[in-house]
Amino acid sequence: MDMNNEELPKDKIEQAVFDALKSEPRFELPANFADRVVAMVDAKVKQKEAQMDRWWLAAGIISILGAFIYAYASVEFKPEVGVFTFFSGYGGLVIFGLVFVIALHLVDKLLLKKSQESG
Amino acid sequence: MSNDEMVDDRALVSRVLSGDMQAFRTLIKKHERLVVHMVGRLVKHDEDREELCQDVFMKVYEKLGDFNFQSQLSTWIATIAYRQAINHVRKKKMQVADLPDHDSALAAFVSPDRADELAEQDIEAYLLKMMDMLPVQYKAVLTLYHLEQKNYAEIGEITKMPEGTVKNYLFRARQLLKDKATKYLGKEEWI
Repeated sequence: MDMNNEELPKDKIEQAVFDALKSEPRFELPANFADRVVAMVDAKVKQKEAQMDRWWLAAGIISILGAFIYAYASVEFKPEVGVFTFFSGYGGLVIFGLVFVIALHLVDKLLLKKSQESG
Repeated sequence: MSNDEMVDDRALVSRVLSGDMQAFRTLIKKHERLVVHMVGRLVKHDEDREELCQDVFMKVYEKLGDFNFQSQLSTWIATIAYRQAINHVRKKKMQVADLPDHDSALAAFVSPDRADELAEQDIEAYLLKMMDMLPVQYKAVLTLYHLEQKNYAEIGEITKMPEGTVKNYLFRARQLLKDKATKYLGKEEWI
């Protein structure tokens, strides 16, 4: 190392300066520092994975809707038979049912998240 | 660095990249002293230091895939620590960019009132206070050379300064401290 080529400090001043330069900063990290950083990295990785999952879910929903519309258009489907005839008389009820089920799942997810955070 | 150490680092990095968190824990423990030295010397406020050390290792994890072993792992981590610390200091609007010339640096180094206050402490505490007042690049160079035993080329790589500038800063920083120590000890002799 370069320092080996230098003369060692001989007098009091040089010794004092070199001693000060060799002294460590008065700052220490907590003993569990590594664990905390690893936990933060873990949380970040999970957050990224959750975001990716949401993207896949959105892509899946769009694909299914696209496929449904394509199938509906290509077979010229008409809701005039069986169960579809029954539902056509209760459009409002069907929409309410769908909204209710989705809202129920959302509330369930929010409550589950809160209970996980507090627990 | 020995070949064994390089092989160890390669193995460690490869384990971290494959998602082994225990390996990352080992990497942190192996290099936390280096980061503590850099952040502890360059950043003044205790409350910011720990957070900054966390940020350094988060960045290390994020960028580890880009590390190509062209330098030592410790040199690469020191580069990240230096940049993070410098960016933090800049955010805090402290003096960073322009280094004063030798005379004005010496003049601004410490006010007489401050010197009197500090003169009551022992020489090492006094010199540490003086070191704390040096421009941030001086402190970085001193820390890397004296605490981390990095050579001029490595310090240049970490700080992106030419080797000549590194040598110059080292010389000037030590000279400033020697001047202060001379004054301090001269004063002590009179007492």
